[in-house]
Order: sequence, then structure tokens, then C-alpha cells
Amino acid sequence: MSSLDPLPAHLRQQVNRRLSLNLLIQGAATHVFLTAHHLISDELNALDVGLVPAYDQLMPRAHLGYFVGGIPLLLGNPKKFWRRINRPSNPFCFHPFLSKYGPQLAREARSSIFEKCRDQGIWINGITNEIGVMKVYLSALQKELPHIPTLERLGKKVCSDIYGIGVDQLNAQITTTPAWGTVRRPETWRGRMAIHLMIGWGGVERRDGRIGVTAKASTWPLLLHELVKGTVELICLHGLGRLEDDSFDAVMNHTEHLEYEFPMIQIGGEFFKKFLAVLPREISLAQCILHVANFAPEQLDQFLVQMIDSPNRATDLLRNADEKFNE
Amino acid sequence: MPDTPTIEPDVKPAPAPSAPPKPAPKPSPFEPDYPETRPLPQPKGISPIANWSELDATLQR
Repeated sequence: MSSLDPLPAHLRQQVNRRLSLNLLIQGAATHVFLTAHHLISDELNALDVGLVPAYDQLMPRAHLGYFVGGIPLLLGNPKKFWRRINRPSNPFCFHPFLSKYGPQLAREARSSIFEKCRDQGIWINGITNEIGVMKVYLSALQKELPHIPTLERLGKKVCSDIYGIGVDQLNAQITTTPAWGTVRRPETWRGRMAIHLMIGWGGVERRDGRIGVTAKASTWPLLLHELVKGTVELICLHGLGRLEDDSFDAVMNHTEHLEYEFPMIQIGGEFFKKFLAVLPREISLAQCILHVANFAPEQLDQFLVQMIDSPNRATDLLRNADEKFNE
Repeated sequence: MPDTPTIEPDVKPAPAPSAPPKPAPKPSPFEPDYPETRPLPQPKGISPIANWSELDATLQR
């Protein structure tokens, strides 16, 4: 660990572990949000044949917004952020996986979304994208309006189908006022601006003594994004619950920042594709995430590096964890 | 004929073979063992569409 690191080694390990799991959470959500409406295209067509084409237009434009246009203007240029990953001022500088592979994932994510947009004839331009995305967003909202309760139910069904979580543990709401829970005040002026722009929030909350998922968003694909985010967060609580109270507070102080979510969403989709590629077919997605959430910090670092450099070994690590779990 | 008392053998019936111990249930991915007193992580947000009117309203505050 670098001598420039202000954190003691044991705390840095736990901070990095939580950052890795946050990346997994954001990655799972970003991955589902780009394509999942096709999983239930029949049900969506039965509501309104315009919904699937509207989502096809909205999703790539919305994700493009993380690379060009207003968000980079407000939160900072993503290229610059990832180029400066090794500066101590970068929040991921001391994270072994992100500092080594973050820039590569960012390049891949950028190329992937640019290609997708070009294939659909969408201009790669910040200003035209801001106008275009707002137009298709408003059009999607209008089409959804008569079907809100059905769309909320479909969101829970898709999340349940993918992860195996019971729909009774999912609370989903399509709303134009999606804020819920308590979010710490962002430390930067950029973050304080951005917090007012959120059109979806997802996570976990206690209801009647049981922890469940809560997702609120202004439109269906984002509602599903938030449901998946909350579901993966719920699984990741397994590891978080074992931390000592002092360590827990310190880890949360160093990892739960709104500003960190933007770069994680940028690279999350590409990261999650690589994660899916190493999963053993015989183990469910939720179970694999459980094993990852239970990895010790060094083991998790090793798994992430192997996911990129030697995928077969990463698969073996998951198989071994599953065998131990079932002993 | 006097009744001949029947002498019960002082042998207790062998206990029925007990079922093998059930393995402890495996934790469900969706039921984490998380301390009740500990706060849950804060929700995470998304803003793929910069809502300029809301930003403007924020700047005016």
C-alpha cells in the first residue's frame, strides 16, 4: 500500500472491499437498465406498442448522458477522472482493481455506448443528446401514465425473475418525487447540485422488522435499475453486517458518496459483463453475489483481478466458495 | 385351572432409530444477518437525464 495513503492498512482493505461491492451494485443495475425491457416486450406491447421503441431510444441516450453533455459538465469530465486515477486526490487511487483496470473499463464503456448510439443513428453530441433525451423521456412518461400500477408490478416481476428474490420483499414506485431515506450531504458543490437532479433512488430499508428493497423512479427502466440496485445491496449486506461498529462507520464515511456513483455507473455495465462471464452456470446469480459479498478483502481483490486476467481462475474461486458454503 | 401369571420380560423395546441430524439451514442471499441497531447503507441515486429546470431552481435557492 502506498505511503501516501492516509488510511491505516486494515481500514483501507475494508474501504476497498466496500468500493468493490458498490461497483458490483452499480454494475448490476446499469447492465439491466440498458436491455431488460426486451425481457418483457410482450407484456409491454400489450400495454402500449410505443413503450418498447420509446425505451430503445431512451436507454442508450440516457447512458450516453454519463459521458457527454450536462452530467460531465456538472460532475467533471470522465476521461480526465479516469486518466488521473493514480493521483492521491482521486477517490479510487488506492483501490488496486480500480486504479489498474478502471481506465481500461472506462474506455471500453465509452466505445460500447458510442457504438450503440451510432448504430441507432443517435448523435454523439452533448447538446443534441440533452435535447433528444428529454424529448424521448417525456414521450415515455406520457405512454406510461395510464399503466403505472401494472408497470410497477412488472418491474418487481422482472427483478424477481432475474435474482430469485420474492416480490413481497420488493417495494416499487413510479413517481416524479423519488427521493426517500436519508442521504448524507455531499461534500462537494458538484454533489450538492447533483443530488437535486436524481430521478431514481434505490436501496434497502427495514419494514416490519425485515429488510427489504425500496425503489422509486420516474420511469419504468429506471425503476428496474433501482430494484436491481437494492436487491444486490441487500445481498451485499451479508459481508457488511460482520464489520465492527467503529470500522463500519469509518468505511461508510469513506465510500458512501453520491459523487462516486457517477464514475461507477460509467464503468459498471462493462464491469458486470465481465462478472457474468465468469459465473459458474450451475450456481445462481444471487448465490454468486453472496459468495463475492462474503469474500475476505484480499480474496475479493484477487477475484476481481482474475476476472479480467484469468477468468477461469475466477470461476474456480466461486466454485470453491460454493463448495465450502454447502459443506 | 388357576391363571398362570404371565411374566413380562424385563426388556424395553429398542428405541426407534433416530433420524440423522438435519443440516443447519443455509443463509438465504436475501436474509442477511445484519445487526438491528446498525444503520442501513443510504440509498443510491441515478440521474441519467440532467433536469435543467430543477438545477436552475436549486441555484436560485
